[in-house]
Amino acid sequence: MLDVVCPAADTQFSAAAHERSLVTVAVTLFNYAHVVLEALDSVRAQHLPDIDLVVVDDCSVDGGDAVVKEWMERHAGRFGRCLLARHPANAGLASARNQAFALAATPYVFVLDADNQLYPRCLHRCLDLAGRSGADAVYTLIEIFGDEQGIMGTDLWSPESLSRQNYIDAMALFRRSAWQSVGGYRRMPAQGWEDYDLWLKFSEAGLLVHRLPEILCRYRKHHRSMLVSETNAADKIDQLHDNMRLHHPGFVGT
Amino acid sequence: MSWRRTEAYPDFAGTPPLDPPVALAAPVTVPDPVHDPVVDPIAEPITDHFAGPVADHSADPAVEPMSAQTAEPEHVGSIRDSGLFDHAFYTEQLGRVLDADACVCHYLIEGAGAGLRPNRLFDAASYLATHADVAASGIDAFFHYVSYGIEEGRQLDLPANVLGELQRLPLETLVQHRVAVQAQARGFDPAQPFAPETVAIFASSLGNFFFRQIADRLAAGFRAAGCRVYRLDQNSQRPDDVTLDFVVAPHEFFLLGAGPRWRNTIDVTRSVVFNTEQPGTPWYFRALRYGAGAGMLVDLSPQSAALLPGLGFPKSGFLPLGPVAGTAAAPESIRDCVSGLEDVPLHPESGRGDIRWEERPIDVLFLGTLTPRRSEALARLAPTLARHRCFIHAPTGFGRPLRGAKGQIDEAHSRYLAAQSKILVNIHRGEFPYFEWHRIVMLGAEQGAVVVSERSLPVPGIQPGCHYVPADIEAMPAAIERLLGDEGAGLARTITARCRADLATHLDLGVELRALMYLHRNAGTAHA
Repeated sequence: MLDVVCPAADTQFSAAAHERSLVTVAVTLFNYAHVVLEALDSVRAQHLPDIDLVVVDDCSVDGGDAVVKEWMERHAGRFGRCLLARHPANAGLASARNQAFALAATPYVFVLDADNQLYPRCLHRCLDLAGRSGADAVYTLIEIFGDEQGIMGTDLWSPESLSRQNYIDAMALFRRSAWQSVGGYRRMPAQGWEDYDLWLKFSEAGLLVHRLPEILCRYRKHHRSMLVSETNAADKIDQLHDNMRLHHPGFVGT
Repeated sequence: MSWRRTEAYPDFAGTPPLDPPVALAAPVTVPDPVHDPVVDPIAEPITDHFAGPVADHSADPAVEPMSAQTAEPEHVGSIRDSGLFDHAFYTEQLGRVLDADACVCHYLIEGAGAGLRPNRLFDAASYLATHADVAASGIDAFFHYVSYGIEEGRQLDLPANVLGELQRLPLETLVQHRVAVQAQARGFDPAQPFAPETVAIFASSLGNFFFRQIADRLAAGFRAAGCRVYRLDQNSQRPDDVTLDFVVAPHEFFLLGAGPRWRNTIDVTRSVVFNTEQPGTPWYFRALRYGAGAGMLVDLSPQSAALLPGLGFPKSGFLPLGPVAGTAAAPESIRDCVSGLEDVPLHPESGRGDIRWEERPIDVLFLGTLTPRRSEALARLAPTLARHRCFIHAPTGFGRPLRGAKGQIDEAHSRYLAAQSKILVNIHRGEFPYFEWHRIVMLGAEQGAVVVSERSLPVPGIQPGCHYVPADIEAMPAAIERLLGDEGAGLARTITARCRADLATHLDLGVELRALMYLHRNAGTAHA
């Protein structure tokens, strides 16, 4: 097991009702105060009764942490553990995700960005498939909403396909020990590729990943999303590809 | 986006189209009992912008017959030799009869400019609007298309009126193109003894998964007809004892991987080529090109089949991929193929549609390559689908798994999944509303799943509201909820019983393929 090093974090809210949960929903938040409650409400509406919730605020400047804290004060009873941690300085997506995994105390973690949502059957179905199949990760089909409409995540897990480009979103169920065994998320030269990097690590480690053939997640498409505005700028792409080749000998890129 | 155009499909709200009785010996015929629809037909106003008035040029000022000297001889020759100039259709537009070369000349000199079409599917103005480089070059659009555009895979949008025109093709006409009906006109009698062939069925291992499914289904059909079957791909050795070569999806088979070598290996003139492409895709005319010279060209769509004689294929026909009698039980390998079925019990009988409808573990099944149109439609359905147990297999084509790799859903697996499902949803891949929809109905009919489909161009023998539930994307959530609600089991019982009674009996694939072999042996088709 590799140690995953996380920055220090301030606990803004913490409550514990029970320890029955098998899964923690790990929400990373950075300046999404206006939509984060939709994400949290979609977790609260899950059919699965026992759920833990961890929100890591990566030093939002729009008051998102206060919005979440107020929501947690009202709804903490819905969850086993309910936790809000805040980074004193913005540490980036990889660190925020790692922090959320590190704070989780359940065998499974579901990654949810603050602007996305889950359909009510999501956690139950993902956990069921992971439990029956022994999968280290499970991803579902995802509905794109907001400024675009469509479906993604329809292709099956394929290390060969993955070596050429990423086609699997971050929004998925992970076995926490699998995340730990590959050393967690890696900080990237440009934000947005951390998730691809983790999937490649899963692929290289020969971990078992399943696609669940149902549309159970919702991905909000913004006119100006991180991947559009920052990551895929031409000058960044070459740097990213070099970085990926360095860390993943099988990376082909396209 | 594009799905909105389905609103404008010609009306199913009136009396569902019924096939005219066709005098055929059982069991080939479609006696077509007149059923009341099980489900309410969708009543909505149809503002059909592509079923508008058909351009009528017969009233145009008379045009003097052209002599061949007034158009570039090279252009006339290329267009004539392409086989894609539909002489009959052109004279119909013109309102008078000219010989073939004179028609091509007329088209090149003034017909194109006047909005006449060289065949139903080609519209010069639209082609030039799509391809600015062609417009800038000043080359005639149709000459460019047949000489370069097809091979270059250029997009060819359907002319505005085509869907309406195809919708209005009388069912009687469609029936006449059916392979079994043509065969019967030439003396085929399904009751007579039949000498089976040894059939090689070719489909590319590198292409779309559903073409391999079609090839597998055909293999089952030929076996049901008593034939020995080799199911081959572009890397296979062709056994010496083959008596009939059958190529599925020629635009892929003859193109991908080692495919090109077969262009000189198979005696095309003695083979049967199965077009699976639809008008309005860049592949349709490419498929016809690779099928050129075939002993017979058959088509999955009755409307496309009706166009083929005018597109240079006098020996052609509509081949309905009907249910296959005695389909095999489900393979245990389904779990090696896809994940997400870990809690679906494996029934030994599950390949035969024998599981009670109410006890089927999958509520909604979708099988089809993800296209932009399907992507948007599935997103619109997502709030409904998310409530139910679904199996959505919609690969993007990215990554193309190798044969046998995870993600290959072949024909046997499709049957298995359909047999586990209550509802089979069909969403057209693009603008042309047919593609494999009737194949999906067949799959549902065979395996006892209820098909909910977008409205489609008519297919002889299949009645909306009786054999499947017609619903545009907007209406699909209600249709799905109704079927999964209290009255669902009763509706399903009626629909699946009618499918069993009608489709399995009258569209039996084994019989249809015997008719095909009969036609092929007797060198030609009724309308040749």
